[in-house]
Amino acid sequence: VNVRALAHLLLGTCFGAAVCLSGAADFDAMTRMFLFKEGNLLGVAIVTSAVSAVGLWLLRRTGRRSVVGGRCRWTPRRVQRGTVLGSMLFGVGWGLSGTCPGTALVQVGQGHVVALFTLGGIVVGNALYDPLVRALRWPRSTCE
Amino acid sequence: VTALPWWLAGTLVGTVAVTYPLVTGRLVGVSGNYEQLLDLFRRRRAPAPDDEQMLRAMVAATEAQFGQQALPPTVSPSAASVKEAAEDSADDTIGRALFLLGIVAGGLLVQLRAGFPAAAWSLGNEFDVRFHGLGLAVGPLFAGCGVLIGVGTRLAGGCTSGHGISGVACGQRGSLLSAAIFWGVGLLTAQLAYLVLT
Repeated sequence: VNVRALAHLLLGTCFGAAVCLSGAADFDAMTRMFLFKEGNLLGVAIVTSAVSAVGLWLLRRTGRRSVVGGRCRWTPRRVQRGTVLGSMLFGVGWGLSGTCPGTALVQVGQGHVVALFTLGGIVVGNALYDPLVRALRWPRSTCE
Repeated sequence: VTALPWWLAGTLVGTVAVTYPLVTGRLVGVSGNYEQLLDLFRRRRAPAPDDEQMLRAMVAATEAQFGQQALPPTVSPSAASVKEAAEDSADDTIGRALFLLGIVAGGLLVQLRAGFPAAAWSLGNEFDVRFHGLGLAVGPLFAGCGVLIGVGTRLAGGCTSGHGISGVACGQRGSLLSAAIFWGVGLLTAQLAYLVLT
C-alpha cells in the first residue's frame, strides 16, 4: 500500500466529514448565514481560522518535516493580477449556489444531484482559465 | 445531517487543516487539486514539458555528459534525485485525486449515519423557496455558478479553503484580500438573490 496515497485519502475523508458536520455544505445553513438569519457558520469560520492560525504557527516554528511529504512548503500567497476579479466571480457563484470547490464534493457524497452540475461547472471553469488569461495577456498563476 | 455546535465544528475543521500540512507537507486547499489534475490531463493530451521538467532534464543531461562537478552547487540534483522527483510527482497526482475522492467519501459517511443518501434534487427549504419556480433549469444555473467558482478561484489563486482557511490563518496578504472580497460579494449576491427570487 502506498502510504502517501492512503494518507491523502484519509485526510480527504476527515476533511469532507468535518466540513459536512460543520454545516458548511448545507445550502440552507450557508444561505441563512448570508442573510444574517443564523450565526452558526460564521462561528465555525472564526474558530477554524483561530485554530488553524495557532496550529500552523506552531508547525512553522518547529520547522519539522512532514510525515510523508518531506519539508513543509510555505508558499506565500501574494496579491496577483486576478485576485480582485477572480474573488468577485467566485463570490457571485458562492453566494448564489451556497457552494465552493470543497463543499460541492461533499454534497455529491451526500447524494445531491444538483451538486453534480456545480461540480461539472467548476471543472469547466478551471478549463476556461487558460484561454481567459491568454486573451487578457495576464501571467499564468497557480492556486499552490 | 445535524450540524455540530459551531465551536466544536470549527475546532474539528481547524485541526484537519493543521494535520494536513503536518502529514503531507502542503497547506490544505481544494481548488489547487482541481487545477493540478486538469493540468495533468491537458499535458497528457498535448505533451509539452513545463519549465521545471525541462530544467531537470537539462541538468540530468549535463550531469551525464560532464559529471556532477560541471553543475553549479545551486542546481546539482543527482540522476537519482531527478528520478525521485519524477516519482514524487506521480505520487502527488494520485494523492491529489485521492484527496478529492476522500472529500466525497467524507460527505457520504456522514450522510450514511443519518440514513442512506437518496439521490435528492432539493438542497433544502431555503433552496425550495428560491428555486421552486425554475424547475430543472436549476441544473444549468448551478452549472453556471460552478463555472464562476472554477474560473474565479483559479484567477484568485485559491478558494474558501486555500485562501479562507490556510492563507488567512497564515496572515497572507493575497488571501486576506481575496477572502474579504469573496465574503463580501457572496453576501451581496445572496441578499440580491433573496430579493429577486423570493
